[in-house]
Amino acid sequence: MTATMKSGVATRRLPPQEGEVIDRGAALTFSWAGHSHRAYRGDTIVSALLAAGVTVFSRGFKYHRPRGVLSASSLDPGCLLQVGDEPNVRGAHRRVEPGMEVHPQNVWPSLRYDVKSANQLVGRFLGAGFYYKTFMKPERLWPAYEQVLKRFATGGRVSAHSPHGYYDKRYAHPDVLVAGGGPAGMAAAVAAADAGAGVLLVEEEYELGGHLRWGDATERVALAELRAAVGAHPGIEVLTNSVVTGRYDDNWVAVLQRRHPDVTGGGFGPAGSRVQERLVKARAGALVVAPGLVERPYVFDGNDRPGVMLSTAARRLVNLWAVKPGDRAVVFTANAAGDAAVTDLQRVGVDVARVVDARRGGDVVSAIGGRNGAVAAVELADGTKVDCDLLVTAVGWTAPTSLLNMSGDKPLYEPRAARFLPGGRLPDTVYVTGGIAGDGSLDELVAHARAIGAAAAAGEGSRAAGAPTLGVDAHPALFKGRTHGMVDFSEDISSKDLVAAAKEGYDSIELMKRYTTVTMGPSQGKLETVNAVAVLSEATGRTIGETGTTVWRPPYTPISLGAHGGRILEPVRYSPMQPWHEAHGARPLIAGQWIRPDHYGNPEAEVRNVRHAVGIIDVTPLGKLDLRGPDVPKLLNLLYVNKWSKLAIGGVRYGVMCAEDGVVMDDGVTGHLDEDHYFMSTTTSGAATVWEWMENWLQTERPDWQVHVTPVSTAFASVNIAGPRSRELLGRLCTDVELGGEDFPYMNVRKGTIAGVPGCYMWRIGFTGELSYEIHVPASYGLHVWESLLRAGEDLGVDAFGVEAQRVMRLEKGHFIVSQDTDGLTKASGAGLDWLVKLDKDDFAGKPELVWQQGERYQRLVGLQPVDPSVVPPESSLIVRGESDIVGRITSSRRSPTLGRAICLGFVAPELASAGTTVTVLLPDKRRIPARVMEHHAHFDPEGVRLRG
Amino acid sequence: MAESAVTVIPPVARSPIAPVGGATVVDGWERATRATLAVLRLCDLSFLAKVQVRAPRQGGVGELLGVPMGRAARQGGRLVVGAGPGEWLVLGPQGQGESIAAELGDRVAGTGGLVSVVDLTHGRALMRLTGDAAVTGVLSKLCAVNLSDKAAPDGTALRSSVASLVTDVVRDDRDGQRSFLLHCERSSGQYLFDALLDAGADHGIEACAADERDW
Amino acid sequence: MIRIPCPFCGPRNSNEFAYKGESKRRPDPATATAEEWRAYLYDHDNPEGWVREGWYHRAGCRRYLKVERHTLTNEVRSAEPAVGA
Repeated sequence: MTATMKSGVATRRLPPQEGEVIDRGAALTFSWAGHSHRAYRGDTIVSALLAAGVTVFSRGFKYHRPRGVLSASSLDPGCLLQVGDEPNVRGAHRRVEPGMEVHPQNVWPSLRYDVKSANQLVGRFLGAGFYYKTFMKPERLWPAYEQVLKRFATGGRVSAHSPHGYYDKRYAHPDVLVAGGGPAGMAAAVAAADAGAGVLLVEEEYELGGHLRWGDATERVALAELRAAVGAHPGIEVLTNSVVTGRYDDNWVAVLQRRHPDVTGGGFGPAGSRVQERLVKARAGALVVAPGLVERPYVFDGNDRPGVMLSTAARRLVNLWAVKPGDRAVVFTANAAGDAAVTDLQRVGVDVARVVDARRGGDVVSAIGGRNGAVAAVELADGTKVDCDLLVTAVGWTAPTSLLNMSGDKPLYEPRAARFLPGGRLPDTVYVTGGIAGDGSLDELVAHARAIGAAAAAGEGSRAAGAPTLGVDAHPALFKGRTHGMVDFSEDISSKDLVAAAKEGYDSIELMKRYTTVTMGPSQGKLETVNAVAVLSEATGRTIGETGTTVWRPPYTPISLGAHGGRILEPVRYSPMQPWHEAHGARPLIAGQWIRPDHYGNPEAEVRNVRHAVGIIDVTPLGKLDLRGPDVPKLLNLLYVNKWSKLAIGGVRYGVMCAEDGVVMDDGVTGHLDEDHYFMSTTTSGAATVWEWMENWLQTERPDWQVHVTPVSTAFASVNIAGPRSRELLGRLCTDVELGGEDFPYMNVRKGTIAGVPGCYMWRIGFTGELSYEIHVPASYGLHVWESLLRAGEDLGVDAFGVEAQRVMRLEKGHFIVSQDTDGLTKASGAGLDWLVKLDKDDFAGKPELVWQQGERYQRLVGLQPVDPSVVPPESSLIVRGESDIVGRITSSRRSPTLGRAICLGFVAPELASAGTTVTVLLPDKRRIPARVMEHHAHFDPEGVRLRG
Repeated sequence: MAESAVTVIPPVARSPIAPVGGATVVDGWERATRATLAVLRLCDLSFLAKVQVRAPRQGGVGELLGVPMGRAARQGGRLVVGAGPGEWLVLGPQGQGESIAAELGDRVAGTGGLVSVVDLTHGRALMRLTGDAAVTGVLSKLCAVNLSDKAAPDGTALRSSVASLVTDVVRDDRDGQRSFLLHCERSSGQYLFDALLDAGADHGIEACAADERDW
Repeated sequence: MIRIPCPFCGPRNSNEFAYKGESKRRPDPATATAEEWRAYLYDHDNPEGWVREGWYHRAGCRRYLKVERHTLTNEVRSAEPAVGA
């Protein structure tokens, strides 16, 4: 066998089969564990490897027993593989692509020699709840436990160097979304589209067809007809290799669409598309749930050995990929699917040594292992032992009711059919058809699906009187045989573990699930849940109906983090001067959505230039609101804590807003431009909040007030021109406004033309402490005005400064910054705003709390200077008293180039707030340094002489 | 009045969206130059005049402008968009923002209640996406609202989130081709433009200069 | 994701809206006691059943809406402008 593997000859490939999906004209090569193998286009990784004679693909999660194929579908728990740098790939679903590098995972040091399989010998230590018991105490050993647990953790390797994939997102609005592209799903889709509905048909496999694809000649004819009907209908969009992963409120349905290696188009994208996966968010008028049924494994000794597989697995391997699953088989059958497997196996030359019919009392007791742990013989209930390398089981079906659960239904157990059925508590917009809804001939199921599809298109409602029903056929109840075996193949949990857990008192299914982790592995219970319920029922003497089942939650299938993240859609905002900043070496500062220049290389030099000559800063991100209407002064009085009634046209005033809890919310200046026309500025981060706050008052509490608020933050490019020569600079570009001190005093606003641009607002305000003008120019001309200022002021020494220099100068002047020097608990009083708050106003936002704040003693914001001028305490350093009594914190700190020393703002306890007090600042390196409380917040020119210029 | 000490160069207005294919100046506005033969085209129309009108929802202005919320209609050389309850957006030729605002101001004065007209030409970005069925495909990657032909025929206007950005979306077909105008805050114009190009990459989208067909 | 039937824009995904909490009357600030005021600020009924709450259509018409929603089923039975229809 080793020799044939290496030569890559497909020893187990059958001659062409009628329904095969492989393209024998398109051979390709890939590698498995470093060895090269051949495959055909259409092969899954596992079908190609099986054809090459490989039978073991992984090892069990805890006991490290070898694992082969169980379901030959995406659920197959033993076929999780590493493909390139992608871990946990479903090897029995993922198609082979040329050059693919596939490796086994969860094996060490190799698949054949697995050191950890010694765990089989110590299994009793790894039983139910072993995590809780073994690693409980002592707690100090947890780091060591983690190391041990990590080595047992399932999953492949994730590389930190993987290229970033491109994941797409799309919204869809189908009238009818059909989950499942089997015969019922296809028929429902066609009927709905015939009725005029736009239909989205979603199928997990690469092609439509469901079980018809591996069926007999009659089924293949039906398949061709249904496919033709779907393909011919322009109203149906088909997504294959796609899964409905969840149904949420109001039929919000998530569909994970995966790349289709062999097909371009097909709703995915053109050849060469970057897209790996796409998350489709659909708002479906009606959801038709048609997932079919999942074949259930049988629990008995050795049921997880390579060579033991489900009847659907054997039939899929033979009919879809022309792979011979074994040479000598025993088939344990309880239904028509098992009988069909016998026919298929015999047809392709497998020696069916024994058919054990459960309907006539037959049973298997044990799968006996041989070389490499694979099945070598089967022990039957009659005591006979039959040699074989393949044991096929067909014991019944599990209804994958996930989408029904997610829609609010509680499925009911039907003992006659030995499976769960829809519980009849679905919303009107969710319909069910196909095998999950009941049994019938293919014609009966298709007829039901057509009726459901038409009803869904017409919006008749799934509970409408006319909704058809399907019957159910009797089926033997076969879950666990007479020996213990594996229940959860993903988590390595046996029926013995579950019985033990029940005995320990974990005898409700939800408790047992959490205690043992049964059904919590990658196949998410679709293979295991009902067997776990059956084992628990037997252990507790209850019926399956009484025991109930666990709730299936989204997602139906694992979704990659990339698909969850989708395309990155985070709005970014730029000022009109951004091209200049980029061209002049600005270091970007991310401030919310804004990208701003932090500095242009030397922030201290930028500060000195403003103090001695003139600087300009781009303050476009400032929030700006255009306020119009006769009631604007009332609104200002209501939102700001100070008074606004008497602000004359041309005047500007500073204001602070508090929320209704008396906490400082925002600050800014508002100017009176014209009759019934004001212009408000807010902080950058507060712009949207203040706007919503205003609309809230105007739309709910004061609907009779006549005010229009228009956000114009980025309609104007804003520049602050600051420094002793700022008037001279602006005067060179503005010819229609007199800028002299008496004509245009501090805290005033004028409208005029700057650098040939009319309609500019000029405010004489500033936070740098220098003579300064804040200009707001129509944004399209922002870059023109900015460059004109720099050109016009060359001989004045004008230069740009960034946010860092601005922060330094603000701190030198002691102007607090909302949300830097305040937080969500800062009361107006604590921020030193008592002088501004006018409690004699009738009503304003936060007034009651501000009244009650009077007389309360809050931590106060003060100016602070470390005694050692060279030590700048990092922001958020604590102010302490004694060993551990926290009495304040530093909120802003910088070295002041103007004063040549460290300066701070900070909060201190009220008894420490008087000027001259020395407090202790605890630095992050544990040093404690003394700092003095200053008389003013301002460290520089507290009287404001320079600013009034 | 201060003496002008320096020569001022004539002002140039710039869109928030960098001109594709290099810039040229047309009547004081910087414009893109790239031409394209691609079916799916995205062009910047930020140079157009954009004027906002607000008035009582059920008042004289609505009758005067003749366009209800949710619809857009051509009136002479202008496109009037019913952008929200008591809110209209009037788009017009380049350079006419102030004159349109003044003229509308005169027309709506005295129609009852508070009425305001604000020229937002410099405060918003405007772009146009034109092409075949792929137009709907591109938008469906960025906007959760159904913009299919059935749900959003020519003349539909709505505001929603496009690429996580609040955007006015106006279906405004050109020469029988599907076409949407997208209108957002100026500072995020480049972001929205880039997001549309990214979403359209698989459909062969090309950014280009606007021409007469686009306005 | 639930849908809010906006009276102006039609049904829209709830992530276009800002949730503003249970609708409450602002007490008269001139007469409210601290207890009444703080109950207004901080206490929420959070019942199982129908609630009236405020939603702001941030990415749409920018209207404040009064919405009746069932906290158990998320069914929305009405949505109207906060004041004056």
